Amino acid sequence: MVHLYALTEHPANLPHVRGIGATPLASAALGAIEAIFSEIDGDSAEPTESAILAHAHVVDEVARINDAVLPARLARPYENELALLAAVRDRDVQFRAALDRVRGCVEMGVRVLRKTNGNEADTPSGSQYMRSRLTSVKLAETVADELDEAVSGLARDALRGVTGTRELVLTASYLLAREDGGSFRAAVETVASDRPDLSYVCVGPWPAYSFALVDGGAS
Amino acid sequence: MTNGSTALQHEVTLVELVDRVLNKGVTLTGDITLSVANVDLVYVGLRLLLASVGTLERLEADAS
Repeated sequence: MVHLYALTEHPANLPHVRGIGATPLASAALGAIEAIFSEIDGDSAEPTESAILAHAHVVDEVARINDAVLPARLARPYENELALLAAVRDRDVQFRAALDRVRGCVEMGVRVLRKTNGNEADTPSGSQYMRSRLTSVKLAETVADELDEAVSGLARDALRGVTGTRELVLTASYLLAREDGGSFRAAVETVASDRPDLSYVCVGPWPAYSFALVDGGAS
Repeated sequence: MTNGSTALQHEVTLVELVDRVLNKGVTLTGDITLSVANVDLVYVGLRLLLASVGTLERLEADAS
């Protein structure tokens, strides 16, 4: 079975690390696209902690030495290399566009948390719950707009996840040039200083997982 | 950082990583993703963090 780690551009730099189950990495090119994969046992395709860590480590290393990288989601393996390349061929144009979008970029995330005092009622009534949820969603949209504006000079793309929950106000992901991480953190700190009731946590940088979604996830 | 909060940071970092690897990233064909996909793991991770921070604070208060 063949497990895919990432798509990158041909000619790819192959990192000197091993994949899931300590299998050696290999690559195969299809026109301008190169797939980084390894041959694994069917059994090692389960999403165990060691498989997840090995997959992420390979993606990190591929992204460290290649400019344009689409991290693959940990998914069921392909029957063989031909089946993998056939799947790449089917969406070749979309993958090339996605590689162009993430070239030279990293992803950084912001998690915005509400500072709770722990005294909220545990079991609000239905209408209280709906009111508080609506307030949370409105707050999340406002906070996301403020963040987007603060990093507009740096972010090439953005995604937001509004959970509308009491503790977690917002999860946002930004695509930025590799060298802009420091400026990004500074911009987020400025926004955070105007919102003492909320905690802002910057996460990343990591390869552009959220912006590799070709099915319209990254609009 | 105390050992407890370092361990928590590790837990949350791991949850963030699991979320990326299982829920984000490119898929070549839509039908091959694993069944845990689309669970909001970042939220699950933060719940874990918040619950554990509460426990830690209580432990530290009890110890002092």
